[in-house]
Amino acid sequence: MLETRGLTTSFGGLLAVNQVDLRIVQGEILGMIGPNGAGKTTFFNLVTGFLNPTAGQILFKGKDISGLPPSRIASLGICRTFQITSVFPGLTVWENLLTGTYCWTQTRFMDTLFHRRGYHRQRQEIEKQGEEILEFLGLHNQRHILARNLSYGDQRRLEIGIALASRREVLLLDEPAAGMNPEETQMLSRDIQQIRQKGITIFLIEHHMQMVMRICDRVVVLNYGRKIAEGTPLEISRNPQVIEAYLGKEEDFA
Amino acid sequence: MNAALRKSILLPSLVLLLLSLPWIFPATYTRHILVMSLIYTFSAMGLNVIFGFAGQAAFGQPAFFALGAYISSLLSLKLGLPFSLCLLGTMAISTGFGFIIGYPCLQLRGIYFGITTMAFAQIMYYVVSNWVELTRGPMGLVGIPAASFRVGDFFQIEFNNELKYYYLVLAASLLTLFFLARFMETRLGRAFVAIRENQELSSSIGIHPLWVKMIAFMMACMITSMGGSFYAHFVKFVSPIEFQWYYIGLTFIMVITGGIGTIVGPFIGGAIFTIIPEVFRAAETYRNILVGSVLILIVIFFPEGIVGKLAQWRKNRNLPLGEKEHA
Amino acid sequence: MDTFSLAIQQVVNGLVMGSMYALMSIGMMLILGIMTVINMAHGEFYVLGGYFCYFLITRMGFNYLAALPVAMVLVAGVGILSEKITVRPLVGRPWFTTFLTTFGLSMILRDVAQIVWGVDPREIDSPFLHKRVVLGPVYLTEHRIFIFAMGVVVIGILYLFIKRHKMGMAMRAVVRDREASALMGINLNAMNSFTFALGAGTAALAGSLLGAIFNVLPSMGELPLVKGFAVVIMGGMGNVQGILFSGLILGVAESLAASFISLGLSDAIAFALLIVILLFKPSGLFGKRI
Repeated sequence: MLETRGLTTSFGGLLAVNQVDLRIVQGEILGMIGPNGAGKTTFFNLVTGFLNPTAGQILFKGKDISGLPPSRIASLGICRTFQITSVFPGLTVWENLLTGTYCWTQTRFMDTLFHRRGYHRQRQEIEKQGEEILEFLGLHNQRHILARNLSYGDQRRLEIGIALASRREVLLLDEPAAGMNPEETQMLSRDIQQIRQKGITIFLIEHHMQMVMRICDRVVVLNYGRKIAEGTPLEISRNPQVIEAYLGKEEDFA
Repeated sequence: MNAALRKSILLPSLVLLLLSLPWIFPATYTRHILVMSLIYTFSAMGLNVIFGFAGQAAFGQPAFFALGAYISSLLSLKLGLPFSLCLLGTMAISTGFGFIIGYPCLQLRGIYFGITTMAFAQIMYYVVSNWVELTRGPMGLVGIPAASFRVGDFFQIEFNNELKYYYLVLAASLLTLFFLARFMETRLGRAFVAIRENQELSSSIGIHPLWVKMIAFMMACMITSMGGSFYAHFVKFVSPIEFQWYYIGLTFIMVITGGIGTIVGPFIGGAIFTIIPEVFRAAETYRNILVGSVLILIVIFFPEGIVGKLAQWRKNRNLPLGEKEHA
Repeated sequence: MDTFSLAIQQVVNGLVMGSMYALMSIGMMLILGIMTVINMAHGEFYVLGGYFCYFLITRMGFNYLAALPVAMVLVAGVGILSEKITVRPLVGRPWFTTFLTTFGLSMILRDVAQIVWGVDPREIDSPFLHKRVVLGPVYLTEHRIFIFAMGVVVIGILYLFIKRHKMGMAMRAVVRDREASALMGINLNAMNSFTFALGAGTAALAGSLLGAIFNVLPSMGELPLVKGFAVVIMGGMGNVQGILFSGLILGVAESLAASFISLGLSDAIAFALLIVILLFKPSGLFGKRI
């Protein structure tokens, strides 16, 4: 589904991402781990068009998408969340979800102008999806609260909600569990698995090792911009290079 | 009172009120003010599109009001076009200008964007002041014909007094308002708001920031210039003064006091800030002091604008009164 | 006068004007950088500088050189008062709120100036106005040299102040990180007042200096305000040298344009220049940290 070949980017001589080959299969949950500064978010930025590669290719469903702007990549089917919570702060939860549907909602202008049937049909579909997402994320009671007034955890969930609203095939989650307590992380893990069951491919960056071990089908490890290991969670946890990369870090290793 | 009930009572009553205003204040002078505030409403609506909805502070925006005034005047004076064509021509040409100016400006963000638009506005001012062959420079254009509509030989109406003009502009502004309200319900309208709230997130869900901002900017130019066109055929005189700095601030004032990002806000802001200077006209020399003070007080105590503040008293949200839901 | 001499003359004139643009802009930049405020009343501080100077000379019998610093202090006082009214109540609000309140303030100040001193231009008599200096092909009144010298000196002092003096370093700290600075004990309120005072004072100086050449009018603040912003953006935020050079470049470009292209359009040069620079180097000519 999604593939990178020799993906490289450098900032003034420093290779933030160095010749990374990666393949993501449709419907899987792929985790990316690595010490801080390993280049994981940079990798995400490359894949989603927020950064341009200096070398290498990114292929989505066989098509080369390297160098395309983020909005184009999103319209092709890839959506992402950000390390720092990104929602639409001045809008309510409900409005946030409605806004996320941009990619796939296209009504004839005349229909909207006069509120004709086409408009209402589209509207119903959007609202139905909105309700579903609210239910799924447990934000039902907060639908009229401004996003900026939500608690941190709720904002995080809303962010995923917006990504879900866009109905993309591939979801890139950048540290979705950051700042969450174990209970919240559990719920998040369950949610992510449920999302995968709807057929969405998930690629996530995480530091919460337990979560990674539990839900990922495969794991890729980055260190200093290079891919140093790839395999099932079990294989990774036994990989001496990976362990060495993490020596001195405080991540708990299941 | 739920939203639907509110809408079905409030909106018609507001429209009714607007229709009857010239009869409540029948003096020519007050009717003149009413027309002027409706005309300035276009300026406010335009700014509201680019600033209120899309969140880009275009300081130079009001220059398009003057631009619209000049284009419309020139179309009728030099080409003899009837008013309706002047209006349409103005809208088209200023949208074109909006494209040309918007493209370079929107490469920048935030205050740099704002100041660059202001720079363009100033350049427009100087060009207009100095291109004497076309615009008669500081002397301005005079004798602009009144707006008139003609259908064949049987129906002709000339909008040459305050009353008729009031209804003309009222109709136009209500139509524009309706159009805007419905537009904000399209996915493009939502995209404007998305860009304002979080540009990075917007691009990750498929919204192309530059093009969406361009469209917002061009729409703003178009709407603002409509106001200019109405102005020119009402006052029948335009001069480079219209480009002045003063109007930039005044337009922002209208939008913000009315309520940013609301549909109805510009109407109220436009009204307030046309009327207030007139109210203080009696105190001619102290007028600016009073207007300036009012402005400061409003900003400090009513930051969401009149409309926003009223909405806040109803519930703890920023959805203003009478706004057609734009989510 | 042949083209070359004319050009040199205009370059010199331009440098003089440019130094004043730079002086205006530094104040605006400090206010913008330290307080995130677009001070729309800055032009009126310039105007008030001219008027207070006029007042001190004609009504209080000061001589020009004494009137300058006193006018600066008086306008600095006005600045402190302005900050209390138009900026202090709006802490924490979005940036355009202070844009509006300072705009309102400028309306008020302009009317006040008009009421007190009327619409007719007022003259400021400088002792330097009467002597001419000839430097090669260039004719200058001593006053213009004085202006340039004052501009460079004051800007130099500000530069050193910001770089070396404790208060100046505090200002830099606030630009970097407002919250952290407050936590470290920097009194933000005092800083705000001081910044406004500084900005107002320097604007007043520019107004007094230029007021001797071009007479003092209530409306004369508009162009300096707008050009001042252009220079701030051109010079790059946080960069005193950048602003000085941008101001000078603008002044020179304007003067040359006035002679060789058209007088009316020379004011437009500022903006054309700004647009061009921004499109190619959005952070300004010299844009980087202080």
